Amino acid sequence: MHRQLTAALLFTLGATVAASAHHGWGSYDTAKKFTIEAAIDMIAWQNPHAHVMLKYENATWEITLAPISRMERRGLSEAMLKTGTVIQAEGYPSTRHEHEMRAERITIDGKVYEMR
Amino acid sequence: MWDALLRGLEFSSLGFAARSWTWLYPLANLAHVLGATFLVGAILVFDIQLLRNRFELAASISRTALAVAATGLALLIITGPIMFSAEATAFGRNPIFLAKMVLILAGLANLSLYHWAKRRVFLQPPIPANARFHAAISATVWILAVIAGRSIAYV
Repeated sequence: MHRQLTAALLFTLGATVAASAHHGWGSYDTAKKFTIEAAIDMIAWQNPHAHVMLKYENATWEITLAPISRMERRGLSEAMLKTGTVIQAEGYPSTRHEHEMRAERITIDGKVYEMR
Repeated sequence: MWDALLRGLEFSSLGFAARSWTWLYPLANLAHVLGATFLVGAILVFDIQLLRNRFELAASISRTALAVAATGLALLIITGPIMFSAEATAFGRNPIFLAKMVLILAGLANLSLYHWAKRRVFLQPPIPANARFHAAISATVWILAVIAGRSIAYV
């Protein structure tokens, strides 16, 4: 009986450790931080993450931002991210999808907004 | 067929609301987590009594445990589709999401098999020998379902 319980707990612990390998910003390469400065091609102001499309080195990059409630709390709004607005997005490339960046912060009009 | 279904859900008014309303997705997420703690917490309390051979204790807590679990299940069933519809095409291809669905089906099958075979288990002793086997399966599968659920966002 105790052995069964112990086995179940150990199994659970093992699975938790395996699962936590994906935690955080795990699918983005934080060693390759870079910045894109471009006019917004397209904006999707939506949950669970907003996205903007920016041109960078002859490709269109999808920039993953934060949940909209977090960005609103920090003073951002959909109206500030209109198509054509020039922004700087600083972040990391995805290790899974080509031309996708997870933004650590974005800068609009010299004002910095943290995404994490 | 599956893809069309996913697209239909993603572009439904539910999917639209889940994406565009500032608080719907975060609240659904919150209630989903709450539902999981209710469901799995109540299941574990019950299963552990079975594993310890405390069948009378298990029977005496079963009403309360069932009420808490049912409340949790209701929260989960209501909020799951809200989050799913926000990104249905991505979720429908996410291997961890599909694994979570398999785990849930396994948990429900385990429950059904046990109850189907031993309907009156707590009213008529002796307790069946396989009660502890089903309890071990139940505890394992439901914990793994929670782990899979939280992992969906990270694969």
